[in-house]
Amino acid sequence: MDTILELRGVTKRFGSLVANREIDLTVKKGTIHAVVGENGAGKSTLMNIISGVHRLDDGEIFLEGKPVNFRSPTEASKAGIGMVHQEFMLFPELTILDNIMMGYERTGKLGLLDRRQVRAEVEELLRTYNFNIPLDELAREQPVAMLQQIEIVKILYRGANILIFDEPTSVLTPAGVEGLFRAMRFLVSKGKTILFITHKLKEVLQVADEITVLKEGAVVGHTTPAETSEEQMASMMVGRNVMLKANKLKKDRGRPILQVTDLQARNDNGIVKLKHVNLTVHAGEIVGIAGVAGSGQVELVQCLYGLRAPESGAILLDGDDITRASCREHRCKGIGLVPQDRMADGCNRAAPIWENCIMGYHIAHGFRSKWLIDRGEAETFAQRVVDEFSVKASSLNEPISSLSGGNVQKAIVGREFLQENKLLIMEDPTRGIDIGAIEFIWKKIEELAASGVAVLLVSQELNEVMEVSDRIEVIYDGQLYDGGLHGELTEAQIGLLMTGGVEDAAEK
Amino acid sequence: MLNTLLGTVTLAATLRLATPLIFAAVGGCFGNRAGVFNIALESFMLTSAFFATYGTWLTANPYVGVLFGILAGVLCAALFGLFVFHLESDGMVVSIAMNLGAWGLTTLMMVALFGVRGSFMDERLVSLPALHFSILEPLGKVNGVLNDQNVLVYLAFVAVAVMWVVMYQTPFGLRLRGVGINARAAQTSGVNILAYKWVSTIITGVFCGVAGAVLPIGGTSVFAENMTAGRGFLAVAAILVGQGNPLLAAASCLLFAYASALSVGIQNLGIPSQLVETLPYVATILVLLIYGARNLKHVSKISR
Repeated sequence: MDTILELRGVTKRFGSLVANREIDLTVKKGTIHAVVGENGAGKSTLMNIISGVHRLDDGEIFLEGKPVNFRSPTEASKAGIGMVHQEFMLFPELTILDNIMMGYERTGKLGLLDRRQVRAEVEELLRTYNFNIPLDELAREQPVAMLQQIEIVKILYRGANILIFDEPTSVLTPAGVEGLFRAMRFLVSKGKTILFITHKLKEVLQVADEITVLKEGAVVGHTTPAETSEEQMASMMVGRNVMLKANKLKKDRGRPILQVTDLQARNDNGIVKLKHVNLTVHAGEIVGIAGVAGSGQVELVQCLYGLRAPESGAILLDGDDITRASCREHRCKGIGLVPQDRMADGCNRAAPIWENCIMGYHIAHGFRSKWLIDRGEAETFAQRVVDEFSVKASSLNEPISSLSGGNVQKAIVGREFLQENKLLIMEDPTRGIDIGAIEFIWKKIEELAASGVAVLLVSQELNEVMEVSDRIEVIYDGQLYDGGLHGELTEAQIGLLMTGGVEDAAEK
Repeated sequence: MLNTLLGTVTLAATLRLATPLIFAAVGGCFGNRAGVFNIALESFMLTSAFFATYGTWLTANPYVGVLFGILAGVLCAALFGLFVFHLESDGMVVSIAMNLGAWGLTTLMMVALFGVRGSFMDERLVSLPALHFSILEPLGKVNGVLNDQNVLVYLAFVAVAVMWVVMYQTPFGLRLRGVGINARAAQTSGVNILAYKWVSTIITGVFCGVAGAVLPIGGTSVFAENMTAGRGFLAVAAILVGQGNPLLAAASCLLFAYASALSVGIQNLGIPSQLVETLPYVATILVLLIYGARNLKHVSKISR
């Protein structure tokens, strides 16, 4: 088979971060080539380079033997490279036909749109590639699987020979995934080439011809489904040197604080992201939730905090039903939250540090004399946060945005840790802070749990979940799987659970 | 009563009063569809009305006046675009500033250039001609309503049709709507978002220029302080009700204009004039309410 696309030494930096490091990749014509890796491994960056969204800093790309350097997605598209984005690039209020021709219209007399000509071309494509799409209906009325087909036909209409699929199965039902794989194989049988980005290893074995594994921006392996197994790929993907150790304290597990039963919820696009989730966190226990981003962690935390109404199921806090309670009630009942996006959800950038240090607790736990905020008490508390969590700040009256990201994170963590909460929910509490601070926060989490607080730790750092948690739950595709007690399963086994290898891991 | 509701005078007045609204709304539809938040139509119109007056007064030629009006509308649009697209100001703030500023500016220039306050009349301020179609003559009432109107009244309807075609039957219109619906998706389809927002805003300026010119030289031959008197906002309401579709927006304009025309006719029936004068605004609010009610189902679905 001929090589259609070749990358040599492709490197891409964002500031000091190297997103792609000297990547070599050879894609053969007429194959499905899977690129797998953890979140942040650099898969999307690589695809964005190939499709002209990003420009490479170093290295070369050869398309059918000729060197190319795309300056825009339009140039890549003209050269026959098209991308099916993870979030669909569609126009809900337009018809499917208009969606497909957008930017690549055909015109007739007087420069008017020649919809008949476009329709003929698209219908020809539909026949050739076995799609069945109602061209005159509005895009917003279509189910997700149909939207994806529209995306595929759109890039075929633009003349793509190489189709890049960015995590195409994450939005689909199992039946939809089957349909997509059939379509992919059919496209390949007609001579198209497919690049397939995913972290779901089962799917890779099912559909790919060739596999390239990325880790931390570099290629760590190249293989084929016949030569490898899910477990081998998982250890290639997540295997890394454990750098940090948490000092586990002995704790007494108390009564159940958080009880979640049969929780079901959809995301904003109406896709079911939580499926019959059952979860209990006891006083004095740290439960860690591991999982690849987008598996339902965000929706779970939102439900637990009253930011998203679940479809069904119940959430009890120390016996009280809080399923439909507001955020404010959650705060008042003693639940703390360290949100994932510290700048968007964790603080008010424009407000001074002292305000941010009491934010969310201004009603729940005082700081209020009668009608006005008690500045003295608030500043004493803020000073405690700054001192105990070594936030490097020149003055409490500076806006919090004047601090570095790591110090903002420490201030937020401090605010939540120093309150007398029953339950503390943390999403990636150590994201973007240095190793010393990570160890410090881990120690604080341990102390907090030892004092009888129930802790729920949601983290994309597998290492963090494994080190800190007393008990591990793995979330995959909206469902929780038992990840064992602290140290019970190996990193590779949990990695396998995270990527959907449920049965295999359970056997071990 | 019926004579007032459907009388020749009322219907003819409806067309006359709708003309500036229709021009402004049709142009504004383009900005609206490209996702540009622009409620400065009032200032575009008022500034254009003044310069249309000035151009006509200079040359005693109303067509030069229209040209001046269009030029002023484009300049206003360029100012708006400069602030919103390049200096990244908030569209709402820029709109409010321009609406207030235009009132002050035109009043000041009236004093400076014409030396009068309140209103300006002059024999050199010639209005555009009315058109007479002899084939309409045997048609009785239709003749009375449609014939002998100002040339811009007829042009307004031509503009609606032409701009509808541009919006829905050309690649330009398709891409423009794409930019408004999902800018990122439009970008991945190779559409230059900024260029489309600019062009749409300039189109708004051109049409508001004509709309402004209608007021002083569309028959009355007078310019008055704050002559637009909220017509720009009515046009914005019409655009929203029509969801950026030139045909529907124009239909809303006709409705608003009908209410205005009615308030003139109905005063003879002994209803207090203060009450009658609220009619156009009551009609606007009613239409907006009905329009809003359609979205209620949608809202309850979101907040479920």
